[in-house]
Amino acid sequence: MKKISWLFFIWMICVVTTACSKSQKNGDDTTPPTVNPPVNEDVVYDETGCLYKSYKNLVMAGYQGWFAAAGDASERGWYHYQNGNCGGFLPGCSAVDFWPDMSEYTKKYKSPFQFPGGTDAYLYSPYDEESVDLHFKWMKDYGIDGVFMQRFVGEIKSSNAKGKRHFNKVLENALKAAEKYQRAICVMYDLSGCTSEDVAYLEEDWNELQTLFSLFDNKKHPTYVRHKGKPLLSIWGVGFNDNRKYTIANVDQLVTKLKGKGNKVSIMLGVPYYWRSLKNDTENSAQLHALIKRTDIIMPWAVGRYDNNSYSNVAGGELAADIQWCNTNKVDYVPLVFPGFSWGNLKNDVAAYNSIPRLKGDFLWKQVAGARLSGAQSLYVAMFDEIDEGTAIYKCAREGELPLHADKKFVGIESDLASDYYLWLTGQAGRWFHGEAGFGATKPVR
Amino acid sequence: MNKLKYIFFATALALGMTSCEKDNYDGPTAGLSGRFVDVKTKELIEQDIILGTTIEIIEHGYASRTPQALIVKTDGTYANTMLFANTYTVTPVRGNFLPVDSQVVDIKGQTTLDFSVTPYIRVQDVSIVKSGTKVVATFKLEQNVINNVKKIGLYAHSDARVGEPMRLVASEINLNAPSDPTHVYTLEIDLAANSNTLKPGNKYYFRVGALIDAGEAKPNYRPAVRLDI
Amino acid sequence: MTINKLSFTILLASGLLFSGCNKVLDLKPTDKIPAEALFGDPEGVKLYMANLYYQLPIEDFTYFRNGFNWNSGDPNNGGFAPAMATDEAVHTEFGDFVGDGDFNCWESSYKLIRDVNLLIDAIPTLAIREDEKAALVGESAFIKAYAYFALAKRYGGVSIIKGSQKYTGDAESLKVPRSTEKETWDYVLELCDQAIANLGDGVSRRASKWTAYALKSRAALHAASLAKFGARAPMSGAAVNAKLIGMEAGAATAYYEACKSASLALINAGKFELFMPNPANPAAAAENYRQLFQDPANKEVIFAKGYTLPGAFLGHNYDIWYQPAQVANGWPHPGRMNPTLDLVDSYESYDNPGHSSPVVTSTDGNITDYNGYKASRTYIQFDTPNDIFKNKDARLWGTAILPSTLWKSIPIIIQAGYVKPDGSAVIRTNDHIDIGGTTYYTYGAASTSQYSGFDTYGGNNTRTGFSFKKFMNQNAPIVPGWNQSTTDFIDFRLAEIMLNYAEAVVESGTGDAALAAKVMNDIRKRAAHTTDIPLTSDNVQRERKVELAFENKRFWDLIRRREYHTEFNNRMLHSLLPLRDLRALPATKYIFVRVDVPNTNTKTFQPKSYYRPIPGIGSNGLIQNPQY
Repeated sequence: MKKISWLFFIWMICVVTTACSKSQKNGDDTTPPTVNPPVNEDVVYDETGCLYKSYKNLVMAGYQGWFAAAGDASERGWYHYQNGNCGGFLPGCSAVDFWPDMSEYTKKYKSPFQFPGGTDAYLYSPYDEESVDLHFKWMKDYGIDGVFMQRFVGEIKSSNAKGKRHFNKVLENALKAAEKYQRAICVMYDLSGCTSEDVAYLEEDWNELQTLFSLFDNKKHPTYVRHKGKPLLSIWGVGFNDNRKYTIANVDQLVTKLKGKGNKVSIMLGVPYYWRSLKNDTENSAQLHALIKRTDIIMPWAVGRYDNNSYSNVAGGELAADIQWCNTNKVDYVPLVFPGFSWGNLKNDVAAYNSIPRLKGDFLWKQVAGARLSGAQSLYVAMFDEIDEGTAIYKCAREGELPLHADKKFVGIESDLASDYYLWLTGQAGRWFHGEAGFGATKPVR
Repeated sequence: MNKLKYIFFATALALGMTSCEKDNYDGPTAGLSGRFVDVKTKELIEQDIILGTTIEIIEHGYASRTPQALIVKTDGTYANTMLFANTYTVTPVRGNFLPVDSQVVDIKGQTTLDFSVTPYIRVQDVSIVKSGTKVVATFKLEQNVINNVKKIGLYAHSDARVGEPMRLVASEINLNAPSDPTHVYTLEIDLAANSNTLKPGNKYYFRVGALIDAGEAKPNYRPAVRLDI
Repeated sequence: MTINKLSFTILLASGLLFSGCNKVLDLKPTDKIPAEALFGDPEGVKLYMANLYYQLPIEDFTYFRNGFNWNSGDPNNGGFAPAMATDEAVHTEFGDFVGDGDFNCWESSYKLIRDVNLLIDAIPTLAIREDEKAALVGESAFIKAYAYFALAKRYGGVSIIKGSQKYTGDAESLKVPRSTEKETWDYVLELCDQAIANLGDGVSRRASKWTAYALKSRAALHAASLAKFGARAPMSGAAVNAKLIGMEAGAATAYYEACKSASLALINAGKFELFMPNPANPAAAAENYRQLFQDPANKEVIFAKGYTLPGAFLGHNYDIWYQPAQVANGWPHPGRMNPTLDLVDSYESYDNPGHSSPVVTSTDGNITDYNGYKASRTYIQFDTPNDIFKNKDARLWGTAILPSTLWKSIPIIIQAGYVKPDGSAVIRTNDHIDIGGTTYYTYGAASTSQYSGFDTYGGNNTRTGFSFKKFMNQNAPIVPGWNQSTTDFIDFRLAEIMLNYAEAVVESGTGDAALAAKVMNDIRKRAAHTTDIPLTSDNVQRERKVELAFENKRFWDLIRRREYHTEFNNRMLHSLLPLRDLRALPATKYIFVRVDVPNTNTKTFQPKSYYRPIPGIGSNGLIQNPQY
């Protein structure tokens, strides 16, 4: 009896998978494939009450949550606001280009910066529950499905107790807020800066998280993202051609372990932009394709690969051919969109302010429409709160309303837009991807 | 004297046979042929005979990874009947369709390999007619990628393999924008203004093409028509 | 008996062969000097240095698509010049374009690099002063930079051989994989910097700080352009994936910056100035411009390749190949450089500054109709065969011999035919007509020795309507033999550096825009322009095209800006036919017809040709450039 229901489940999964990958072409192709019982029987999860059973039709953002404020309980100073290359966090030196719009935060910290006229400028810390709560409230208000909580493997090792405590606390805040506002949430490990050993450590941390937070408890965390009947876990940073200290093989082993015998989790891989043709930013190794075929979703890293002018030419062919490849190989595909790019302060280079201009949302919408018209069904927005590289979509101070920065400057949201414009525009993308009519290549008018 | 001749011949023969032995391999007996087919319409995808889609093949078992190139005929078929039987990695490159992966193919005897691909652009509802002193082409475009359409063109040549790279006269419009699927595009060649090249009283081939703005993409076409001008 | 004899012969032969081998290994060659002896003597080093300079891949009068120094052995190259692979000119007879085997320099460059590496090894051991050693270090770096620049612009990333290689029995150890294109360009600039740091600031025929700055200016602009415009001609394949060819757009900024600073060093050096910068009028400007090249002993010149004596290895052949037929002086194949109407159209007219001024021949103003003479069309009548160019930039007059202008005191007759009083035309056919007791000839004169245009006889007449003037020696009659020309070739001159600066500023959007506009307009003033034009990309490129025409820069401009494949896509080049209009008799009138260059085909540049094929990949194991 038990076995039969098992088989039924497996059959169901197969049907769903097939329907998913083909649905954009013909929804009627639901002939059940002949099921060869797999050697290892898949783990089955109770998804009763789960709100996000697939990444399909979702628009989710990345959530850094890496900032800390001097005076918060994290004891990490102005972590990630500050810039170690010029002496910390003070006028003339910062890691951030944008300045958060602080008007709605209830808990704030006086920063070393002042506005013209001498008023002090304040900042938030995601270590505080209230601030993360506000971010998830915004997601709900503007119709953004949720976020991927970034976990930097280099920062959560036992040798970095404060780092680990920080990311766990931010995750805890986020899980709470996600449930409260019914926003999708998912863990994304970032392998940047890892060694081979660190990659292996990821599994340990992942197991720890499950114990700590009961991540897969459908009652406790009904908004944790599931995909293909499994909780989704994302690993970012494999196949990049920038001399990393870990290999595709390391990640391959990791995936084997994480999935385990019962294919315990669905895995989304963050891969370089030219992953399919193995050129430019991508390691020229066919191993990457073998690994991708074993995972469930890929998300190519598009930040900095094009601007508004070059987008169609660069992304057009890649998107369509990527999706074709993924359909053939039964892997789901999530393109990345980003509002613009600016890291003048981080790089201490005035030429890098607004190096990829936002153009009042034209650039973001061009990518949203490009992805949708090319057949994408979900989006990854980089990022919700990334102000070091200036890709944040959350509320930031506008041009003309920024603190002073000695010989440097802060970059603002265009002064004729509201500070919530990019949240709103991302929300419009959400409506389109949820299936609402009336959207197209033309940027919606607010 | 005769003896000398005899010796000379014998030596020559011996030398000749020696060298023959060293070079005594079979000629190429295998081949690869096939078609490029539109995954949706199942029609052949028209190509250029020069500077068009290429199929790169790399024969396994050699250190060199330098590919050999097979060209594709204008009608979208290809054939190379003089290959050595072996395993090859086969990759269509620089095409007018969404790139497809390499595949490893055992080429034995005359092997067939079709490619089912998505053309960048489908040129549809084509009409090319002579109207007064002009040749007028009308057509619609359906593009399968979001890239701009770089240009559309009406090309004329005395050879049936006419196309963008091979034309005597071209009438082109640089669109540099996405195409409008409902729009009827019109291109004209003024025969009077090209009387030096398209000589009255002769027959010429005319073909319309549309080029997507993507990397090394090649134009998409419909078959050429022959007109008496 | 005979058999024995035969065997004996074979034995003898193999004996010779074997002993020959042994002896070759043992013998000290009598035609070679051992390294110690050569480098042990400073005079030997000078001698060696002269040889290195000789090998520099300078694209001068002896360079064409088959190689460099084509002035020894059989110097007959058919009269081809690199200009004929561009839109500057066509050959009188042939239509060859850019083929796979053309414009290569692999072997010759690596030979030079090996030779200069040997010298670099020897420098520390030489018994000379330290400052002399520094100069040799700088000179070696300059020569090496020059060689790698030649390689990089043809092949992209190449094998970088930093020091001399020694063969120790293992050929594999000598193989050096290709560096990326970016690394290769960075290496070229690094070598330029080494040269700048070590060389003196005198100006001579040898490398100096200034020649190194000039090389850096040119190379950095080339690299910057590749980075900026590479996307105009996307490529794919193994070499692309390994970054052996292609650079990211972001790399452009630093290269433009390098070009600007090197160019500024020369502009501000106080050592160089434009030759005759303030002409009295366009006619004077045209003559000044011509003089600049006929005798490059002036302060505009930064680096020149000198030609002093006629003879193999010494002289060159520009005068015999390219002076018009009427002055051939017995040489059987003159007149082969035919500047195109396309180039002529590019020059500004003094009454429309800042714009190319295409030659208008008819009242309808149509300049795109190349279908030939039509009686029904109204052509503009001119009093002389060159009145139509009256207002055009002096540099056109200094570069090309225009119909019926004087050369060596002879009017050079270039006429394609005539229009008979009944309105029918006879064009490019040897014919004559008698009207009112006067005989009129289609080619403007009775016999082949009296005209220089459009007769196909001997392939000696221009077929574009223009003959060639720039670099030609007006002072001496042609000596009808090989390697008799001794006009020096200017490799680097201030005007190019100024235009490099202007281009780097306008393309990067940073730098002193006012200075960039000024230097560009200084060059125009030297050509008798009186109105300044704004600094725009188009203006800079037009200036380069006309100012540097035939200096073998156009080819590389089209390459580095990735414009070749769009400029040459089934491209037909054009001629201007001057016709005597006999309908106007008794008045003397001429009309002009714009046509495709007679007897030519269209030319198409294949994008793969932006990189040349690397020879010998079967043995050197290098990754080949795409599509070869």
